[in-house]
Amino acid sequence: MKIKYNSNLISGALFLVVGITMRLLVPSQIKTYETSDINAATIPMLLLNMLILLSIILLIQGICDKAKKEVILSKKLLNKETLAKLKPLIYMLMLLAYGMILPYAGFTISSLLLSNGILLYFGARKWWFYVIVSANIFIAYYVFSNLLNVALP
Amino acid sequence: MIEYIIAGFSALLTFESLLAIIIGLVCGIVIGAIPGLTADLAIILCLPITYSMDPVPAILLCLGLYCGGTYGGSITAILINTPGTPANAATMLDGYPMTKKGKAFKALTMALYASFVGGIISALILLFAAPNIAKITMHFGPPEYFSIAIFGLSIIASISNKNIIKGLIGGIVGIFVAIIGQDSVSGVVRFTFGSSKLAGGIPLIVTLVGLFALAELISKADYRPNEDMSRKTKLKIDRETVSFGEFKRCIKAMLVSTGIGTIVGATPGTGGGIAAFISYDQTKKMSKRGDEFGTGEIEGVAASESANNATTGSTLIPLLTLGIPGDGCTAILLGALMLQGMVPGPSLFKDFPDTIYAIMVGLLFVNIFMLIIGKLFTRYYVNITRIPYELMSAIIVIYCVAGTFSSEASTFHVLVSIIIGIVSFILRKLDFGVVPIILGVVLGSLVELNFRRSMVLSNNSMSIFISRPFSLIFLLLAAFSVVFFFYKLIKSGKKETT
Repeated sequence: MKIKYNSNLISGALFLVVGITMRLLVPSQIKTYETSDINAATIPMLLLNMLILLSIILLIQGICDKAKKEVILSKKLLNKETLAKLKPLIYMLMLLAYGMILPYAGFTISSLLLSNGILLYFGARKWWFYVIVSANIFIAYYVFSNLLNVALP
Repeated sequence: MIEYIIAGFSALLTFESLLAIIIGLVCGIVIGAIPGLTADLAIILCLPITYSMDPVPAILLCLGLYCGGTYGGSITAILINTPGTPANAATMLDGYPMTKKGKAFKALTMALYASFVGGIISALILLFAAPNIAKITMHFGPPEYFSIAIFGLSIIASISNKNIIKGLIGGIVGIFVAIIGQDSVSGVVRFTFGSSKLAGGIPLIVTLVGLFALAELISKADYRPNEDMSRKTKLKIDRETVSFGEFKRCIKAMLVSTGIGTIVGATPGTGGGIAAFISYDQTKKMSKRGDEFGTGEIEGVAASESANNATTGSTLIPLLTLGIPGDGCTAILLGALMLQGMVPGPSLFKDFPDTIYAIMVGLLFVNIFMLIIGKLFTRYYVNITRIPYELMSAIIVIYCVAGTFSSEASTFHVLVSIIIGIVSFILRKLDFGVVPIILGVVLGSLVELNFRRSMVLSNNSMSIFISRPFSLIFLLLAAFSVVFFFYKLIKSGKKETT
């Protein structure tokens, strides 16, 4: 199966969905009792209408633009090159996992896991990289807790 | 005015302020010299530290990072042919060929002198021009504030490259992030999805860390240490410095480029990179050795470095007097001022005269200290370029998280920042610029607040925006900015077809 796309096409479709969804959510998300013509919902509504309009223009631009990338959906797609392009996804997942475990594991443990994980991710082989990074976590904890009076979790 | 300058001096000459300048400069130079890490990132990382500081040292720390970062970017441009920041791209053209000829130390020294000349002259222009502009803007009301903010947003046109639609969508996304939470006029909560943690809105630092720092780290996640050529080449710095004759020869280039840099920097939507290339081109045309440009001509280094550093002072003119950030870095500086309870714009010179003069005088000191630090440590700069990126990435993440947490003492906001970072990365992949988003974030709430105030003043009549002369001028400037974008687009389209 062939898929032709460009960034305008994807962005246009994405923001059209976001714009319409948010527009539908306005009554439930902005419960204003103001009676004047201009109230708390005026600017958000105006912006969302603009977003929908701009997304449609972008979508049309994407459709009309002849420069499109072509992808054939098949097993060949699962090659080393494609997988390498997905590498930032691992980095993102590490960050998300960190954000999830932070309230439960606390700053020190979760940060030790993340920062050393990042070094492993980049394939760092020097042991003292791990020492420097781990030491930095304790330094950050000390600086924020004692010098800036911010009690890290 | 003189009494304010003296008051500014006395507010500046404290141990804390001077230390803030030095720390800011050293960190800025180091971060600026690491390819991929910019002054923007350096300021964001230090923002949480500024919470507990007085306004003067806090802003001077940020200015030290800004100037140090801009200058520091020249180090890698000269030594390894990779600009530390986009503003230093023109420095590579002659800086790196000088390194190849064994004149790295000379190029680095010239970059330092030129950065100092550009920086100090533009700081002086800021000191004398900004208060005079502020005298006019001090009398502005909500309609003028609204029009100024609209003009600020119109900069999106000039920074949107070829697709203004994407720039506008980015701006809307930014404004939307700014309006989440309680409405400042009516108190109604908006788009919190039932979460009480969002009622206060998304703090600026949470947005900035996500948009710039975390997105930057994610976008460099495909970095491969084994394939980094700069780590394989071993550099040594020679001792041959700039001679008096060479310095004298570069004076004209430095002064002309400083003039260009100052004008370009004061024009919102431009930046150090554009200033450096224009100056480089002009100097090449003016110079007797124009033919040698690109082969390691010292005048080329002087021109580009004095121009990009000349923008550091002049970008603060529209920022401090009108509240308009000219680029991403000044948008973050605007955030830094807001975190100190100072809203840049017409009222700043009226409400905080001592602080603002201390900051402007401080910029002179930042440049003087930059020269001293540069003179002392130039020969050791080669070591900065050897700091492994993976190490920096792992350390920066930790300080990003600690900084985000410190704004609200909430792990929820850390997660919000990470999500903003991922969304920002995806938008970058889809060719969206991050600067329109940040302009929307910092100017969005100002637009809405002053629009609604103006409507109350005028009984819902839009004519208030065109009946007041300054409001009309800024709206016309905004319209001009957009029309000029389309003019340029059509012109470049015609060139491509011919």
